[in-house]
Amino acid sequence: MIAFAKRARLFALELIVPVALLVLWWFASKDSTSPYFPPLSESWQEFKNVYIWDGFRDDVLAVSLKHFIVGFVVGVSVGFAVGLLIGLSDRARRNLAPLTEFFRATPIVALIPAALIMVGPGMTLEAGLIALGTNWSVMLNTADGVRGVDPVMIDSARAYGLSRSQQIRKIIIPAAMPQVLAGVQVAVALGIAVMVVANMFVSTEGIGYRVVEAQVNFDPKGSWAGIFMIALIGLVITVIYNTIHNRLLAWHRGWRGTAGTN
Amino acid sequence: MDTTTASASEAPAPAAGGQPILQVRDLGVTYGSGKDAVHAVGNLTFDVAAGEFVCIVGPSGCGKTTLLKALAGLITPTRGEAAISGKRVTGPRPDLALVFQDYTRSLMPWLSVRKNVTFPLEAKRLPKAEQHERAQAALDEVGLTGFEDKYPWQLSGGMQQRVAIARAVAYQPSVLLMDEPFAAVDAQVRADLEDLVLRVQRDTDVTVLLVTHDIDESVYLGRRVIALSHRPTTVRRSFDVPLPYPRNQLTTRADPAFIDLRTEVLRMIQEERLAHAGTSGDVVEGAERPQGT
Amino acid sequence: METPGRRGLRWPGKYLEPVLVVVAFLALMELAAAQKWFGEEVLPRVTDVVPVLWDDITSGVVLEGTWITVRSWGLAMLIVIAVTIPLGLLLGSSRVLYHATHLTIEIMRTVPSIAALPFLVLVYGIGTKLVVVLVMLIAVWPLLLQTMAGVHDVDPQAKDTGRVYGLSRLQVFRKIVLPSALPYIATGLRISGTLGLLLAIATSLFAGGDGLGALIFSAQLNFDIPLTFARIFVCGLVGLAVYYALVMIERRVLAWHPAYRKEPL
Repeated sequence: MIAFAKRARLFALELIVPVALLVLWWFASKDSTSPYFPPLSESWQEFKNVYIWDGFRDDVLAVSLKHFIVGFVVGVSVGFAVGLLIGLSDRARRNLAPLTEFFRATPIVALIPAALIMVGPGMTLEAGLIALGTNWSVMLNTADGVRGVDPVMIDSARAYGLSRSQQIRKIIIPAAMPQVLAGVQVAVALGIAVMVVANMFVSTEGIGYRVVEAQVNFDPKGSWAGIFMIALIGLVITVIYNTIHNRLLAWHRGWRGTAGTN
Repeated sequence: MDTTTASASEAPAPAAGGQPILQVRDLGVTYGSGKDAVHAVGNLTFDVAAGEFVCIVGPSGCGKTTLLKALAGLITPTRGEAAISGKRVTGPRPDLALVFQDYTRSLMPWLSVRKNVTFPLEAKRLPKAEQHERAQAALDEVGLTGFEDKYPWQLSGGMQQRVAIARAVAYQPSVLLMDEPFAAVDAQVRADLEDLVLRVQRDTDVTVLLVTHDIDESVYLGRRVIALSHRPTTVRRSFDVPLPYPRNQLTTRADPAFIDLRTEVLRMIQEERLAHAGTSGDVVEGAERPQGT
Repeated sequence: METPGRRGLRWPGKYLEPVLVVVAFLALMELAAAQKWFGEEVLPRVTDVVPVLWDDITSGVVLEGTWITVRSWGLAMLIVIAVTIPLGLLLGSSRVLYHATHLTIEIMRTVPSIAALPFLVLVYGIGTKLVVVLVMLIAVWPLLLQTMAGVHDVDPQAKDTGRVYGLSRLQVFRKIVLPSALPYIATGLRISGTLGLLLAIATSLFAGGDGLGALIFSAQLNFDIPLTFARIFVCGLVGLAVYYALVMIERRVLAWHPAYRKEPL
C-alpha cells in the first residue's frame, strides 16, 4: 500500500506535462493569425459559447451520447453472449471462426456504406455501428476468459455437486470477469471512436456533425471547439468507465497482488 | 491381495457392525488405449469403516489424485466401482466432500471467506439461516472466527486452507476426502493443520480419507495407513496404526511404535520406487486432465 | 463427468462443419437478397457479387486501390515505429519520465483521432500525406504506451542478476531489458497496426482519393450495390491479412518468452 503522500506526489508529477503543454499552447498561440491554429483563448471562448450549455444538450446529450449508450449496451451484451458460447464450446468456436474472424477484421468504416444502404441514416444506423464495433473485443475476451478459468476451481464446484448451469453462473462467469471487463474497456475506446466517425459522416446532427459543418463553413475555431468537446466526452466516458472497472475488479487486484507470496 | 492386520490397536474402534461406509472394488482408471494407455489406477480394493481416519500413501505418480477424483465422482472409472453408504458412486454426491491441495485454485477469490464456505450450501439451496449457522459453526471450528468477511487472498496460506476445510465441514458430508491438503504450506503451519483435522474428525465423527506423500504425516494422522504400489496401482499393504488418540505432535511422534511403523512404511514405499526405477512415462501427479484420448 | 479412455469421434466434421456454417450463412444472405428482406435493391445476391468481384480484381482496379491504401499505411507505420520505439524505450527507462508522461499519453489516446480529419483536410488537402498523418496520429499512442510499459515492467531481479555478473548498463539494456520488453512491443505493434489500417481506410472513404475506402465509396455513390459489397469484402480480406501478419509477428516474439502478460485485444 503506497502512502497517500507518495501517491499524491506521483499524481502531481503526472499532471505536470499535460498542464504545461496547455499553458504553452495558450501563450504560443496568443497572437496567432494562422487560419488553422487560432489563439487557444479564442477557440476556448468559442467552445464556451457553443457548448455551455445549449450545444451540450442538443448535440451531445440528445444525440451522440444516446446513440453511444444504446449501441454500447447492445454490442457488449451480444459480444458477451456469443463469447460465452464460444468459450464454453470448442465446437461452436471452430464453427463460427471463419465468420467471426472475417467480420472482426473488416474495418467498421468499410461497412458504413453498406449499412447506410441497408438501414438508412439515423439512430439505428449509428447505434448499430457502435454495437458492431464494440462487440468484437468483448466477444473475444469473454471467450478467452471463459476458456482460461482454472479447472481446479471448476472441479471444486463439481465435487460439491453443482450442476453445469450452476457452474457456469457461479464459477465460470465470475472467474472470467477480469478478462471480460478488459474487453469492455477496449470496447469503450472503440465505441467512442465509432460514435465520432458515424456522427461525423452519416449524420445531420450531433457533435461530430458540428465539426464537419465547421470545416465546410471554413470555421477553424468552430472546428477546434468541436474537437475539444469530443476530446472531453471521450475523456469523461473513459474515466467513468475506468472507475467502475476498478471497483468491480478490486478483488482481482488483491488476489493478483498476493499471488506467490503466501 | 494382502491386508495385514497387525497388533490390536488401542484406537477407538470404528462403528461396530454394518457395512463399511466406503467400499472400493477393483477400481481402475485408464487413460488412452492400446500402446499409449496410461493406467493411472490399476486395481484397487479396500474398505473404510464409518468414523475411521485412513491415510493413503504411495510413490510419486501412482495416481493418488486420480483415485480421489474417481471416489468423488469427478471421473468415471474404467473398471470396478466405489460405493458410499452402500450406494454406487456415479457422480458428485452430497454425502461426500473433497479438499484439494491448492487452496488458491479452489477458493473463489471474488467471494469473502464466509461466502466461500456457504457457496456449496447455496447451490444446494439450503435456507439462508441454516447456511449462515453452519458456516459460522464451521469457521469457529477451524479457528477462523472474526475473519468471516475477509477475502481469501488477505489471509495466509494456512488460513486459506482452513477456509477450504471449513467449507467441507459446513457441507456436513459422511466422507471427507483430502488430496495432499497440507503440501502447500510450511512445516509449522502443517502441524497445526494436522491437529485441526484430527480435532474436526473427533468432533464431527466424519470418515476421513487423506492422501499424502508425507509418510510421517500419514502415520501421525491415521488409524490405518494404506500403502499403494507403483503403477499399475494396487493396494500393497494396509497398516494398522497402534497409537492412541488423541495424538500429540511431540509425544506421538517420539513414540517408538510410531518410529517403527513409519520406518516400515517408508521401507515399503522405497522398495516400490526402486523396483520400478527407470519405468518410463509416469503419470504427472496432480494432472487435472487426462492426457490424450 | 469425464470418461477417460474413450476416443473422440473421428469424423472429419471438425473441418467440415465450419465450412458448412459459412455456406449456410451465404445461403441465408442469398435468400435475404432474393426475398428482399431489406427492401428493393438493397442487399445484393451473392451470385451477383461474385462475378463483379472477379472483374474488379482482374481489371486491377481494386488491387491498385488496395495497394495505395496499404502503401500509405505501411509508410506511416514505419515512421511511427522508427520514432516511437526509441522514444518509448527512453521514457520507460526513467521512472520520473515514465510517470510524467504516462498520463498525458493516456489522455491523448482517448481522443478519437478521426475527429481531426476535417481539420487536417483543410491543412493537407486530400492525398497520401493526409492518410499518413492520420495513421501516425492514431498509431503512435498504443505503441508508445506498450513500449514504455515493456521497459517499465522488466523484472528488477533480472536486471540485478545481470549487474551482479558484471554486465555494463548498456549490456543489461541490450541483453535483458530489450528482450523482456519485446513481447510488449510486439503487442503494441499489433494494436497500432490494426488501428492504423482502420484509419487509413476511414480516411480514404471519407476524404476521397484513390485508396480502397474511396473505391468503396464511389461504388456506393454510383448505386452499384454488388460492387460496393464486393469491395467491402476485399477490404475484409485485407484487414484479415494485415491482422494475421501482425499476430504472427507477435506470437513469434511471445512464443520463446518465458513469462509475458496477456494483453486483451
